Amino acid sequence: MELKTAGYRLHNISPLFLFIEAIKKSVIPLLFGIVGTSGEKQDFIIIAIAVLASVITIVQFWFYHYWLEEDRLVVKEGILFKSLRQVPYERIQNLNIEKNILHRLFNVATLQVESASGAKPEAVIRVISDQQVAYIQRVIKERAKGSVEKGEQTQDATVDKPIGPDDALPLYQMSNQDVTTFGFISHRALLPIGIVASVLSQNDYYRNKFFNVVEKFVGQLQIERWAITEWLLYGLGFTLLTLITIWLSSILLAFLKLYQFNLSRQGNNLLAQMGLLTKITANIPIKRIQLLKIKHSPLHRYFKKVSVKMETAGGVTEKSGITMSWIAPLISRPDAQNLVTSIQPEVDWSSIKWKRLEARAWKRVFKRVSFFIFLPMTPLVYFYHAWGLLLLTLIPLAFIYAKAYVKKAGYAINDEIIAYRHGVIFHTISVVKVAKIQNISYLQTPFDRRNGMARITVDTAGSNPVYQDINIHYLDVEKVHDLMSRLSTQVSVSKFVW
Amino acid sequence: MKVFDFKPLESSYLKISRISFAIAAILITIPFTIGSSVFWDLSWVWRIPVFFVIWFFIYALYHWYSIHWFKGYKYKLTEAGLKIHKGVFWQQQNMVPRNRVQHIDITTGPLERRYELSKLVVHTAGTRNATVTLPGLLHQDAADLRQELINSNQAEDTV
Repeated sequence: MELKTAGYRLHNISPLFLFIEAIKKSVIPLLFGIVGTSGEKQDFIIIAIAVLASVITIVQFWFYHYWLEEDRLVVKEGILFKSLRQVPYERIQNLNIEKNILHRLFNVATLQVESASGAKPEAVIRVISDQQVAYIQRVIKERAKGSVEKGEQTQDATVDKPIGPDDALPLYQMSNQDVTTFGFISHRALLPIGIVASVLSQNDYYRNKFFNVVEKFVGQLQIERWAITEWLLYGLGFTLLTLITIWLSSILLAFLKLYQFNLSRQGNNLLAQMGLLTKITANIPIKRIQLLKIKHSPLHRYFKKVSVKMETAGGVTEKSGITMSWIAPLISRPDAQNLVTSIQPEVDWSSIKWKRLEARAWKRVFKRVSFFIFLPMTPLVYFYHAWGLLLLTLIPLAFIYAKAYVKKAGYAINDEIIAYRHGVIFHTISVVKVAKIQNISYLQTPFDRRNGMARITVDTAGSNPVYQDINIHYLDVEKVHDLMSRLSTQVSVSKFVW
Repeated sequence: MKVFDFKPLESSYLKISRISFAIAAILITIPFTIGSSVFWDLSWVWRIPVFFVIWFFIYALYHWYSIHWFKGYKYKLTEAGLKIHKGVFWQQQNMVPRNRVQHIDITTGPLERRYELSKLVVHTAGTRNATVTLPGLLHQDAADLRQELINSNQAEDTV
């Protein structure tokens, strides 16, 4: 294909960033090399290989070109295996910009272009100058709009008023207190700290070092001679110390990621900015949002807050690129509902009539939970005899859980949306616009059949392949059939726009 | 716009599924034969009849299952879209609205070719049920169904 415009190259400082990225990717072999078990010469060989491989990646810089054509973005890259990618502007789902301290020092940024396909971003332009980023953003925004208007009418009734970049309408902001609370609620650091601690505790050298440090503070430990009170005291102290470490580091992580989180609306796009050291700017066309979720955990409820997340088409994960799924990490419940309505006017909370699941469904939940109580009880009774029966005390809890499950679950459907809410401890409300539904399935297990029940799920682009958010279970078969035919008709008359 | 009510698959597809299972059952039988040979300490002379007995037993189970499986496998085309019903114990219905079809493949395996059958693979932009397959169609039926689904989709151009 002929390229009509002149191509662009990466910024001159790019090799540095490419090198850092390559180092980041080989950080695990590097870590194993440094912290590894032996500490001998072969470790340095691993490090040397990793460094060499990283240096080679710098060469990419001379082979990376991109063009801003009339209707598409073209990216050419690769040394031995060359690739030429063409992304039409109107297919671009998200446009994310990453800036960390180093970027800011050189006035450059990493730009990530995402379309609806695959798990990898369509193009990662690492790095280009700030002016060039602004230019590309403008080009994509203008031309995408142009081609959509030319091509056909979008089903979104909202008229595209030409809105300047300064007309950003603020939707949501996060105060420092919110970020702190969010960090505490999320316990994000629990997993990494757990992994590091368990790896280090397997390493004799670091374990001894840890005990040495501890003994410096509290004197000789002499675990062998501890009485039960000492065990309790030290155990409690240690637990408290661990908890505080986890909380503090979770809060730190939250600040790194969400500091000054700011969501605004620019015409038909959502603009999100966040980050302390690494600033991320994400640009999401509103009509590309596939699903909205409002979630809360017990800790959320303690602070009287909820989280609002979204799903966009395209399966970019944290590993493969910059992800942006937050609408509001922490927000009060009424505000959350207003926010969702202001982003998707179809979601009118007052018109959503929640319908309950079948009242008899609690028996099925109860049986299911009880099964998981009896399952571990069988070996326990075999080995510990009557003591194993202690697990039976959980049965009333299962009863309460089952009743609460049916009470909290519900679904709602109207001409515009389908919504589902469920969960006793972790509660989620998911909302999908009918126009975004891709296909509908119905499932009836043998247990369902015995109870005259079935479940219905709807599939959207960019949803979780394992877990479906709209998965209405424990409904009468007739209701499911009605729902299914109603939804199919609704979907078949509404047009899907990415 | 063409519509039709629930249709069963071609009966030769039942034959194909049985033949392919009979072949697969040979592999399934091997570990059972080894197990029973070790357990009862069978001599070589006995192992071969035992193999066939187990194979026959497994195949007979499938033969009985496939009757119900085939009876339950049906599809219909409505104004809204293609609906496929399948499953014996876990019954499932997939509904693909006409205007959500992204593209359609027709694949044919060596066995299917002998019986002039094809498999229709309908792709949507979804995630979990993004591809819906409908096997056991006559070549011509599959091509017609594909044409019908694509045609009704052409009327309104999806982005």
